[in-house]
Amino acid sequence: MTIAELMKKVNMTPMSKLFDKEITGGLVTDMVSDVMKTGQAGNLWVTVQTNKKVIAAANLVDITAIVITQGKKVDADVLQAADKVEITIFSTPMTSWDFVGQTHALGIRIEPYGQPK
Amino acid sequence: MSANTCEHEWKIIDAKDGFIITEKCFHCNDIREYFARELAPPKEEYREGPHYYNFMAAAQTIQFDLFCEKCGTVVSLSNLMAIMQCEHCIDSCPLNLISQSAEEQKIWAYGALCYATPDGKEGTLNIEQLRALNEFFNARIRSVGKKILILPGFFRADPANCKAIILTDVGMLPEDEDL
Repeated sequence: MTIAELMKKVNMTPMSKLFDKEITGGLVTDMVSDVMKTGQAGNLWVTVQTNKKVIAAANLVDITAIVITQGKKVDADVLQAADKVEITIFSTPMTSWDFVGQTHALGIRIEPYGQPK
Repeated sequence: MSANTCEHEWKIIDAKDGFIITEKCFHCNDIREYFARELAPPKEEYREGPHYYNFMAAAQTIQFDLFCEKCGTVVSLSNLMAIMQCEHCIDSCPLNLISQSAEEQKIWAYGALCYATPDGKEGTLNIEQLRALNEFFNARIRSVGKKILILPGFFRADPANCKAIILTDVGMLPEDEDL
């Protein structure tokens, strides 16, 4: 499934430029060290973190998009950084738990701390 | 397959969660950092030779080694403190110049910060470590044309005033303090 296809099925809104890419799975964590350790190319990263570190870590492992849950606001400089590295930031009012549940029902497996090896 | 001819396929092994602890000697102002593999950052004052070290800051991080699944080579990265991304704060900084020119080709430069050597000098990765780290991150990339370039941290012109984004987890625990 691609990001654009997922957007049509789940309540998530792009806050930065939309880069439509294939989704390979995902991880839910608020730790950048978890992403460096287990993040995979094409993953969705589900988090409440809105720090600029999120973009630097996501870019390092080629995360496809970041989903900020609980409707948290993201600063303009973070959105600009995401545009630069072609990673889309989404906002959803859902909790991480609810978002992962909905995407799981659509066949996208989002693991706590990343994909099992 | 020998390590020299192997096209390595690296995976992380021996990943350890812990803290980067920053301490300062209140006599001579010596600052040092080390990795602590504990559930909470150690904050005790202690004496070591002529120094009296006090806790300054802690940041959650991981420490790991790389293992080649094809030839069995293990590259220890125990001296790697953190990976950082340049924020272009100093125009003439070598890391900034390399980062900016590399970005034009979709090459994203990061710096590898290391713990100081036992004699207090700035630490750095050796060529084997740098090569393995670059191969490990680039092997994960799927985006067409995109590359990651990990450079030695000593490319920073002014570490004390560098505004780089350091990839550690800060403020995630009640007892966690800013690095």
